[in-house]
Parts: sequence; C-alpha cells; structure tokens
Amino acid sequence: MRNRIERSRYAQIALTYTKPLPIRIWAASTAIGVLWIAVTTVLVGTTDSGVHAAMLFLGGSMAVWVGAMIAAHAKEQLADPRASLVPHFRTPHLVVAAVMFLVLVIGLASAVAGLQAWVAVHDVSLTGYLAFVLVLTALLAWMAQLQSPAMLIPIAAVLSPVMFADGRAWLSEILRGGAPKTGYVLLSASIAALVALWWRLSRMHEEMPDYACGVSPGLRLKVRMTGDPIFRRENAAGASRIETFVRHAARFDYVPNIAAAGFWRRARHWRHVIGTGRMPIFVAALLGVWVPLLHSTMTKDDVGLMVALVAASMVPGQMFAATWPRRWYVLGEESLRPASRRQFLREQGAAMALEYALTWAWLSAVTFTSATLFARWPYGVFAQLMMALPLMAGVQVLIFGILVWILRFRAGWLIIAPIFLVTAIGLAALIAGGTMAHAREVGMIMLVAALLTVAGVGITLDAYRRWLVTELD
Amino acid sequence: MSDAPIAPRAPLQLRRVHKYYGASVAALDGVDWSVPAGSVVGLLGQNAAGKTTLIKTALGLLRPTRGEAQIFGEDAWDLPAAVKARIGYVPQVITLYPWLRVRQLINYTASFYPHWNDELVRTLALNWAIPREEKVGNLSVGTLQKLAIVLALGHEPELLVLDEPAASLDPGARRDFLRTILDIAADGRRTILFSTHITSDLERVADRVAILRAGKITYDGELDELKDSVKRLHVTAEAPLPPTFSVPGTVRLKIEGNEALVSVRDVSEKIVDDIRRNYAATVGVQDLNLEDIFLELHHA
Repeated sequence: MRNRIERSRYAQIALTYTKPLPIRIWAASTAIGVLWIAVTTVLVGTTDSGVHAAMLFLGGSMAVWVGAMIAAHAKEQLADPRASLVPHFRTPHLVVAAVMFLVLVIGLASAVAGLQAWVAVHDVSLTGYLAFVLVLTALLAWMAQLQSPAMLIPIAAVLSPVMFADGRAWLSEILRGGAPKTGYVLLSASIAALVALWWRLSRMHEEMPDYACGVSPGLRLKVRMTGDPIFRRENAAGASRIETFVRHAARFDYVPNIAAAGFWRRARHWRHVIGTGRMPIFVAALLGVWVPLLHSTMTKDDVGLMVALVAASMVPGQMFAATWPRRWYVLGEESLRPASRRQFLREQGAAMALEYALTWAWLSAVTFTSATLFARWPYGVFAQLMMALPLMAGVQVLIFGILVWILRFRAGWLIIAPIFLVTAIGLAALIAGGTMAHAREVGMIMLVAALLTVAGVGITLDAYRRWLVTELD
Repeated sequence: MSDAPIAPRAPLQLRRVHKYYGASVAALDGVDWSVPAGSVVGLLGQNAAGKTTLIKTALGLLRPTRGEAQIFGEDAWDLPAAVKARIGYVPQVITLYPWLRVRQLINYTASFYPHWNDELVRTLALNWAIPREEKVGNLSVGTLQKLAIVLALGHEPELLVLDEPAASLDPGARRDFLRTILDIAADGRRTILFSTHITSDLERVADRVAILRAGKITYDGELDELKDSVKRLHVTAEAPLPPTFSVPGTVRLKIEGNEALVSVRDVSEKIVDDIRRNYAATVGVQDLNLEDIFLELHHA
C-alpha cells in the first residue's frame, strides 16, 4: 500500500495538501468545525432556529475558506517554472485540486444543507445554498489568484444586496429555493468562474501579472523588498504611485536628523517609514460615508450601530497586522542604527503603539461623528454607543498586546492568524459591551474595560521582555 | 572563558563562540577569532560553512549559544548607540523600502547618524550610476546592492562588514567597488571584513584572510603568508611511488605510478631535498593562487 502511494503521482500531489503546518492547523480546525456543526444540529433538533441559521453560516464560511485554500495551494504549485519545464506536471496537479475541491467544498456544503433539510427548521434549498457558497468561493479564489485591489469591485457588487432590505429578501428567497432560475444562474456563473480559474492555472507563465503575486503573505512582503528579478512585477507594485501616495513618501524629501532627538520624535520617525501612512484617513472617510448609508438601509438602528462599531473596533488591528510585518525584513539592519538594543525596541514599540492608537482614534472619531451628524440615531442608542467606548478602548489595548507578542515569531502565515484573532476578540467584546450598554451597567463596563486594559498592558510588557532576547537578523 | 590571546583593541572579537540552530546543527563550533584594527580581512568558506552566521553573530544580530562576541570591546548582543555609529553593514540579501525614492532612502538613513558624509554618498551614487530619483522598488538587484553599499559607507564607519558584497555586481561595478574599498582602507583607520566566494576580489584588496570550515576557523593570517606557505609539489620518481609515500604537512596527495601531486603546507628546502634523495625523484615546486589554495584546503 505504502509503495503504491509512493509510486502514485496523484497520491503524492494530494499529500502536499497536508504538508505545511498552517494548512494542517486549518484542516484540523475545519474538521472540528464540521463535527461541531453536525453534533449541534442534531442536538438542537427542531427547537432553536437561531442556532441552525448560525450553523448554516458557519458551514458555508468554512466551505468557502477551504475552497479558496485549495485554489491558492494549486496556484503555488503551478505558478512555478517546473509547471512549464517538467513534462506532465500541470494535469495531475489540476486534477487533484479539482477532486479536492469537489469532495471538500461541495461535500461540506451539501452535508450542511442536508443536515438542515433533515431537521427541517429552515427551508433551505441545496441549489440556493450551493450557489451562495460557490459564488463566494469563486470570488475568494480569484482574489487569492490576482491579489489585486480591483477584486474589491466584484466583491462589493456581490455583497451589495445585503445592504438593502429588498436585496436581503431576494437573497433569502434564493436560499429557500423560491427563485430556482436565479439560483441556477448563480450556480452556473460561479462554476464558470471556477472553471476559468482552473483554465488560467493550466496556462500560468511568467508574463502573466498574477504569476509573481506570492500567495504566502510572508513571501509577498519579502519579494517586494528584496528586488528579486523573478518578481519584477511584484517589486514594481511595491513602488506604485498608489503605494507611494498612501505611505506619504514625500515626507522623506526633507528629513530632520534625529540622532540626538527625543524618544517620541524618534518613535514617530520609525513609524513614518513603515506604517500605514494615509490609509487610516481613507478608511475613516469610507466609514464616515458608510455609517449613514447603513443607517438608512438597515431595518433596526442597533444593527447599523453594531456594524459601525465592528468596523471601528476591528479594522485598526487588522490594518496593523497587515502592515507591520514589513519591518521583519529590515529589522536586522535597522537594529544596527545608533541606538542600544533596549532603546531600539522601546522606540519600535512606541512607534507601533502610536500607529495603532492614531488609527483607532481616526476610525472611532469619524464613525462617531458621522453617526451623530448624519445617522441621527436616537439619543438612547447614542448613549449606548458612548458607554461602549471605554470597553472598545480596552479591547484595543488587549489586541495590541497580543499582536506585538505574536509579531515576534516572524512567520508569514501568522499574519493571517491575528486577523481572525482580532475579529474573534472584537466580536466577543462587542456583544458583551452591547449587552451591558443596553442594560446600562456602566460600573460593569468600566470594570471590564479596566481588566482588558490591564491584561493588554501586561501582555505588551511581556512581549517587550521577549523581544529583548529575540534575534533580530 | 578562553585563554586565547586577543589582539589589543581589536574591533571585532569572538571568544569560543558556538552557535547552534536547533539542538544539534552547529553553525559555529567554538570560534576564537579577532579582526585586527586597520586590516582588510576576507572571510572565505564553502557554502554552509557558517560565514553569514559568523558575521551576524559578531554583529549581535544572532545570539551565541555559548561564548562571547565583542565589537570595540562591547558585548555585541547589547551594543551602545555610540558603538553602532561606528559600524557599517551590508547584508547578503538586500532589503529596502520599495516605495521610497533613492534620495529619500538616503535622507532617511542619514537621519539616524550624528555624522554623514553627503559628498561621499553623492559621488559614489554618481560613479555607480545609481538613479537618485528612481523608486527603490524599480532598481535591479545589482543596483540595490550598490545602493546598500553606499548607505553603509555614508557615516564613514570605522568597522565595515560586508556579507558577499560583490555577488550581484557586474565586472565594472565590482572593480569600482574594490577600488572604493581600497580607498576607504588606505588611511589605515578603518577595518573591513567581507565574506566572498570570489577569491580574485579578495586577493586584490584583502591583507588578511580567514578560512571558515564546518563552523571552525581553520586559517587566520596574512594573505601573503598563506600563499607562501601552501605549495604544490610535482614529484616524478624513477620507480613507481609506494602507497606509503608521504610528505610532512600534506594537504592533498595524489599518486599515479611514478608521479605524485602533493599540496603541502609550510614546505621547506629540506623537505624537497628529502623527497629527491629518498625516491630518486625530480621535484617541481608550484606557487598557488588563492583559489587553488582554497580548493586544496577543501580537498575539492
């Protein structure tokens, strides 16, 4: 048996899907998730429709994520010189990826829909559910393939019905199977998009702009900064006008000497070269427009409030996690600039804290101002919002500490982990905060906010202690 | 603590430095070494000999598993700002900010140093055809390497450490780079350490050479001494040479019938005379260039 597996090219390719540690972790998480959905669906039975809706959402999200991972893995194998030079390389890789996709994505989505049909709480059509899953999978897989901001346009277009009451009713109708023709059209379109992706993968070569877009975030950052000629397009992307403008590179036309400058001035200097630059202002402006839009389209004020808070609370952590790993690749050289090890690490920490605090301040200020001026939420709702603010600040301190702690490991795939972590912590805090604010438990809010802040400061100090003994090469 | 004698005021010293990756992979295996002030030292070694690890450990970017690394007498792991201002470093893989223009990156780098020779930087950038208005992300690997060297020279460091600095340079740029190194070293106040595979470069500029093999320094001394000490003997005997044929200080020996090729260290007239007399042989003594010596020492 072992010999047969070792001799089979297809089996060997399939085994590559189990090799990288991050994929194993995701696979194990997915397996636990599937088990949890199955057990919960059976145990809850016909009693709680809210739980079943959550299970549908969770199962669909997992299927979408698995599908995108398979497509990204296939790209990593095929956007490679071997695909062009080794005979009979592409076909088995594409076949294995397609089989994995059919078994895991279609299988997982069908199983979740089947379980729901069995408990019969929600009227879920397999066609409608599969259509939703495959449309989102195709979008995410193409996003992983192209890694272009232009992909935000189709994603926004697909998600836009959620913004409107009529749109949500239409989506609900498709999910229930009430609009079978629309369901089949969506299903066919998503399958066509996935077939097109497989077709592109089967023809990947170095002249294609998406060939050099590294799938691994760590690789993507590194190739941008080292000038590897294989990744010329990627390097050029790092020097694009948009990137230069967003990073406010013009401020380096005239740079004051900071050799003898004070602590915070040096910290600001470190931040300028690597931080998010003008990005928080753009994101804040988008939120400022989005909040009143949400208010006008959501049926309940609290939902709009929740969405605005989610954005203002989680985006800073996600922006931070996506930006600061860039410093990994210059850390060694920059640690040799005139500053002691302690001074260097303290200045880096201060630069990160400054960046995080300013991003959060921008987003929160614009969101709250926009909510006050344009959304015109009732005073009661606004008071709840203000009450949740200390809690959100505490959450930010906690998230910052965890991110600085994690950044020490300098592993590419860990950039993704904080994004989920931030989302999980932010959502949990938000639900708790919303509940407490609703009940006007100001004392409890302050206590929890203080506890979160203390925990965040403690983790940050521990991170600093660990950074002191971390090799910076 | 090692009792090995260390040259006074050596800018860079390693004392019994061990560096392990994981539990068992020894990249450095008890290195005792110092770089004398005012010297230009070439660090030679095969792939995976530990050159980059040695350089990074010496600079405090990696922490020795055991032993001690010092720069200008200070612990390399925790160097004061004043000592760092005296160091220039060009890593093997150049990593810079792609969204900055060359002149912006120069401004940014200069801002950290109390002293910066803008004239030198301008001249070097001009001579090496580094476009000051170009975005760093659009530069070729060779130009990036030139830029990194310029940035490392701007504050006129007393100790310049370069990890394979000429690997991506074309022959013209390499020649210019070597000339610059010679100019910098000319006043005798600066110390330069560079690792390389290109032995002809090393012969052109280095006055000392250190050979790193499997994590140990197997030779450390004057380049001329090394070239004087290692010779190749062409032995042609009247009768077939016995398998027991040997020469004191043999580095490599190859016997074929009446003939033998022997690479030896510290060969003397007496040794050559002994071979002639004992085996009724003619002996030709051949000088070796650094590349040949490197290959002989590594049995390649």
